[in-house]
Formats: sequence, structure tokens, C-alpha cells
Amino acid sequence: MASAKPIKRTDIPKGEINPKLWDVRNYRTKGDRVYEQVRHTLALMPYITDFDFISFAMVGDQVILTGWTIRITNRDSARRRVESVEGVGSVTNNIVVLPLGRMDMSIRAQARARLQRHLSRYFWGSGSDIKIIVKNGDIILLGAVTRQADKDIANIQCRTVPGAFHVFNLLRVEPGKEKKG
Amino acid sequence: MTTMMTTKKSWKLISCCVVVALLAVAIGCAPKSETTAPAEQAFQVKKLPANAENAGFLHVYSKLEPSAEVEGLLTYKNPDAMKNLHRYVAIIFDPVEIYVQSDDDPSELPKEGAEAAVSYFKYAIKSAISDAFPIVDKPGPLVLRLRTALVGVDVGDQPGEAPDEEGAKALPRKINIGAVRAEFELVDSVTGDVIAAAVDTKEFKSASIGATHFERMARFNEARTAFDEWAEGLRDFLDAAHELKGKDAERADKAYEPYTSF
Repeated sequence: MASAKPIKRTDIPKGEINPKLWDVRNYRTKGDRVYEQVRHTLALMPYITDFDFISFAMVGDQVILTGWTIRITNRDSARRRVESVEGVGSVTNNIVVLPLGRMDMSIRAQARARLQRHLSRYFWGSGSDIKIIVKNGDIILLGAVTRQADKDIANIQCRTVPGAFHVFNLLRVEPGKEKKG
Repeated sequence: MTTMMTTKKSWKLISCCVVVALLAVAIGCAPKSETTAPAEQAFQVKKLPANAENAGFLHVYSKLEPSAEVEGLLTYKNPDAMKNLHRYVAIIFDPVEIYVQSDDDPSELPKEGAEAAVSYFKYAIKSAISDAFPIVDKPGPLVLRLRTALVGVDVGDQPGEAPDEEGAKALPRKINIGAVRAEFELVDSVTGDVIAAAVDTKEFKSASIGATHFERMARFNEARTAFDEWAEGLRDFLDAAHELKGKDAERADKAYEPYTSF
């Protein structure tokens, strides 16, 4: 079996990718003031539902937005909000707007109903700690739960949703985060 | 020789019969063509009941309260967490209902004028909200049904005005919308539960429609402004209803962690 060769920096054509992106030491992380402000501003976006997830990385003063949303407004609003944070230079917007096909809508509704029934403590008034991204029949679970058992329950419940092809369970297990039902 | 010809003829006859029989069976088994449903009507015209407090369009008049966030709006939000606006992601339009004043005859409302008004109103609503609530054409889970009414339309005595726009036609009677209240109700498209409602009380005193394609003519600017502002009011209501506050904001902030941190 042929093994994949690691890519060297010299293999990449000059000017195509910012070389800073290759070194994790250039990324801003938790504890950094600007990083925290960007995180906070994205956390409070009003139209984020259980079916949207916006992530970001910050290299120097450059913010790279990624993720999925079902609303165009979230894509535009995330860029606007992040651009307005003091200390942010440029914003690359790679957020994908998901289509609202009938099948995907049905999967979204059923996945949420099942998760809410079995893991109700992660769902609250106007949001949830578990994000359910549905794209062309595939389900991606994002967010955090406090126990491995809850992550497994989420997986089992989503796999039984009619019409769902695959479940990519990317839920993080963070025992420190207490969830109140 | 004669026998052979007779046999050939009878074979032809038999095959013809078989073909006819097969055709008959095929026609009999074919699904009956569906009757064409009448095109969905974009609006309905009703008359305001005399001396009534309201049009009877909304289900929640008694629960409406002045909005703290949006001026000129009376609003209602279902207090049940399971029937929260946040739980829906798309909207389907219901036909707009037009309530004419109680002393007017609904049949006198010019059809073309009403069509033009409703068409522009729907366009204004779509422009105002579709990036936040995409418009879909079928009901289903996560879809809200948007019921809309223009209450208090006055069918004037004056004739419409000669249009200065190519393709537009003067209406037989001017439609006055100066005292109209725009009423909106969002209901679950599957269960029919009322999720939210809003009434826009802003008035545009001299707003009237005297011709088709009124939105392109400067003299009907006030009417266009009225529709635009009612639609904006609905968007402002939705924005305000989605704003995270108090414990919800705290929890959202605490829970959110990007996936690209190291």
C-alpha cells in the first residue's frame, strides 16, 4: 500500500497560500483578547439555530470564518460582526449556506426531536449545545457534551433518522462543562 | 392458395384485435389525468365587520402588547419554549387577506389594483426577510406559515389616475391605504399553532393606489413607502425576537467554541 508523502513547504507554489497558516504557532487561541472578542461576537449572533455552526481561526489579524448555515444572513452578519471587532484586519469568509431541500429539512427536524427527547439537558430556550448540520442526507454533530455516553446516545439516535446516510459525530466530550436541564 | 390467403387474413384480423385489446387495457389501466387545480389565489377580499374591535384575522388580539424594541408594533410571542420562533427556519406565504372598510362594498375593490398591491407587498416582505427566513413553497417541519392582512382598505369614490408608465392602467377606483393596519401571524405550518404575531400601526395618511404598476410611479411613492415600511417592521420584529438575552445569551456564550482552536 502506497503511503502518502508529507507535503513540504517548498512544494507549494509561492503566493498561493499564506505561509503563516502552516504553523500552528501563528494561530491565536483562547486567552488572547481579540480571539475572545471574535468568539464572543459570533456566539451571540441572533439567527444561529440548532442547524447552524460557525467556526473560525485567527492568524495574526486575519480571521478565517468556516462552517455551515441555513440562512444567508448569518454568512453576511458573521463577516460584518467580526470585521467590526477592534484588532481584526481582514476576514476570509468560507461559510457555506446549506440548501433547504425537503429531505434535509425532514432529517433536521427528526434529528433534533430525537436528540431533544434523549438529551434534553443540552437544549435550552432559544438554542442548544449540540449543533446538527445536515447536508445532502449526511448529519454532522458538533458542539460539546459532558459525557462519552451522551456522545454515543447522540450517535445512535441520529443513525436511526429515516433518510440519513451518514452520521459524522464530532461532538466534544468536556466533563468540566456542567449542563443544567 | 385460397386457404393460405384466408389464413393470412385471419392472422391479420387476430393481431389487429390483440392490438386493440391491449390498447384498451392500457388506456383502462392508465392513471386518470389529474384535474388541473385552479391557480392559487394571491389574495382574498373581506369586509371589516361594523363596530367590531378588530378584523378577526389574528387569533391572539387579546395577547398583543406594544413592542419594547420596535416602535409602532403590537406583538405576541408564544411563551412555550417548544413553540419558540428560534425553532423555525423557513417561511411559506399564505394568500394575503384584504379587509375593506365596513361601509365599502368588497366587490367594488378594483381587482387589478388589489393584485398590484398584494404583489408589491409580497415582494417587499420577501426582500425584507428572505435572507433570515428563506421562502419555501411547501409546508413542513421547521416551516412557518406567514398569514398577512391589510386591514382597513378604503375603496375611494374617485377614479384612478392616468398612468405615466408604459404598460400601466388607470384603476376604475382609487384604493386608499392611508388608514390601513398591516397584520402578520406566524403559525406552525404542520400543527397550526400560533408562534408569533405582529400588528403594524404606522399610518401613511396620503398613501393611495390609482393605477397598476403603481410602484414605478413617483406619484404613488407614499403607497410604496407604506408597503416597504410594513415589511421592514416585520423584519425588525423578527430580528428583535431572535436577539439573545439574559440567561440564553450567557449560555450561548459559554457553549460556543470554534473547532479550529489548538
